Amino acid sequence: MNAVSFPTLRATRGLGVLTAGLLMFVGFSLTADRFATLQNVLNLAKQMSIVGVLGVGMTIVVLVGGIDLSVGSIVLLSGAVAGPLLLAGFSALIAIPAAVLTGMIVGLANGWLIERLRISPVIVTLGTMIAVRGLGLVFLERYRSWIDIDDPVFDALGSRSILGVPATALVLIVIVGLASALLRTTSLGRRFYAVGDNAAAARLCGIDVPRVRILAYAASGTLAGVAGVLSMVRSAVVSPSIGIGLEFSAVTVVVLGGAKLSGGAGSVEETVVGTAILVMVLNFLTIHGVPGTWQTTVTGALILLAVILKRVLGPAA
Amino acid sequence: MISRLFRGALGLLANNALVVSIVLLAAAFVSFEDTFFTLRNIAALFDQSAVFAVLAVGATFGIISRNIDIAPASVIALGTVVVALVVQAGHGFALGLLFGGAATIAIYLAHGALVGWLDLDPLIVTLAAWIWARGLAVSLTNATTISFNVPFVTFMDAPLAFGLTPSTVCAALAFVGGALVLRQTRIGMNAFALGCDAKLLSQAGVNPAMAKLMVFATMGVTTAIGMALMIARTGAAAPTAGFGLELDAIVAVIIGGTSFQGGSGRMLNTVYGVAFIAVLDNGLTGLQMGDPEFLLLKGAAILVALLVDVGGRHVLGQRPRS
Repeated sequence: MNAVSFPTLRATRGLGVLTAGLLMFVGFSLTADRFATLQNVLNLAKQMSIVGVLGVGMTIVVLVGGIDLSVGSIVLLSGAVAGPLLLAGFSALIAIPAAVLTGMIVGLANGWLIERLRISPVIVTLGTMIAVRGLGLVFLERYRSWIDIDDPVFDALGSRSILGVPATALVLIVIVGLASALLRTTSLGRRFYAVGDNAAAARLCGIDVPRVRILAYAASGTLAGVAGVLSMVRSAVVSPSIGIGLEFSAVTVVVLGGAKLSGGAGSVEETVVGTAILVMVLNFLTIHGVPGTWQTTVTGALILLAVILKRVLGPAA
Repeated sequence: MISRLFRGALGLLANNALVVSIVLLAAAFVSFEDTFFTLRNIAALFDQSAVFAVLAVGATFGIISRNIDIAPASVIALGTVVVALVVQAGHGFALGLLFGGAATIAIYLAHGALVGWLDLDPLIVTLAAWIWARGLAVSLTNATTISFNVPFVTFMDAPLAFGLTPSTVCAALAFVGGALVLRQTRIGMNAFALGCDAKLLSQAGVNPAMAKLMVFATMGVTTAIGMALMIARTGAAAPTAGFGLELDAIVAVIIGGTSFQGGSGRMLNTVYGVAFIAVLDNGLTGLQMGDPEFLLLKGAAILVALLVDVGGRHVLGQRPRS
């Protein structure tokens, strides 16, 4: 919509979110005893991994003006594909790519339905959200709906850290780095922004708009597959309730990061800050002994507060 | 001649693809289960679908005016909890229902104001409520279900005639009322205008923010009715009540043929969409299906219905909708 959405100026745009995140960190450190300890910060990083990875995928989809509500179900399905493979004696080197590939296939199917048949993304991904969860549950049912993950590679990902950074957090860092490089330095990255900013203008510039959008959904599905692996690492189990509500958490962190749902504006760095804000708030509430049920209420209120503040304080869109 | 006839028949099929799908689906269920086509089951089908049918009436307004609302099921859960809290405080069920309904409508008016005057994205505002309203309902009840023992529940669930319950009648009236408001009043006309181009309204001297507020007020009323019907059906205030109903309602509107782009649509289309989802849900449940297969088949059936519809238009060279 406006010049602000180009990468160079976007750096200054993200500062507002970063400032808010830093202020929160300082405020929480002063008001909660155990908040700023190294152990808790590492814990925060671990908690960020799953939602953060989903948030990166959602950012790309939101950038092209879409939305992907099926990611929570993909997390379950990829676990329901990788889990049985591990049980059947395959190594994690087969199971992990299979999980990621599963996500990619669902993402491509989403993109194809949305772009080739021109059905609204909300409707298509709501449909796949229901159907993919069903498919995952059908797979899981053969194992009495419960698969324990007992594999050296998964164990290592869960317990190891490199230079003090937990392995799951490292996965998030690598993915954010790759996605950021993709969006900032490659022609495809520019095309994602161009399509979301003004699809008609992008088409006139010779960009294959449907193809770019399909790639965005494929990226989101693939990253949801990665999040599925991370979820298996963190909980060491695949069970029916896995991934429920994660799609809304992913949308939440993208919105907290300041992206526009209409497309064309946003960045993975801002989404990471959005993820950090969400995780910090929940962690702060836990330290102060607030029950988990109230944390849901606070999460919802936080989204509302963020969009209202952005509208009232921010520059006119 | 033959090709013209064929093309005509194809056109008729494509334009009524959904009605054909509903008939085929019902026929399939009839052949699988003897009990499907009985008065008792048809009446049960209506009664079970009452809440989501009423929500679909509201969703039709939301989608036509491009103000999608994904919060109704969460707000219903919160509304039933408000009713329960008032009853527990000893103020009687009638007052409880009044407070619950008022709280529901108040939330929608707040949403309307935020979307109208602050120009916030309706998807984000209602996403926030999808989360916080359900969270608040769980927190206020400590995740327990509170049952009501009042004549209202037994009355609403007892058949009046032909197995039709007052709940079913309420849902039918909501459709008639919704169609009238959509077609005959300024609220409905402004909803269409909002879906086409909000600038039209300003140029016609109407405040678009006010028009949006009215759309949300209408959705608030349908959600409040849905809340009362939910209590009638379950006889309880449950923080988990109606999980996923908002999706059923939106899908029913879209499958019915109302464009997600806004600006066009009919209440009759929503009736077809609701019938499709209701037959699907009832039929699959009747087959004694477990949750996994149920979700898989339901999601697949929705996608197939959309494919048939889009495919039919494609064959005829019509522009795909939305």
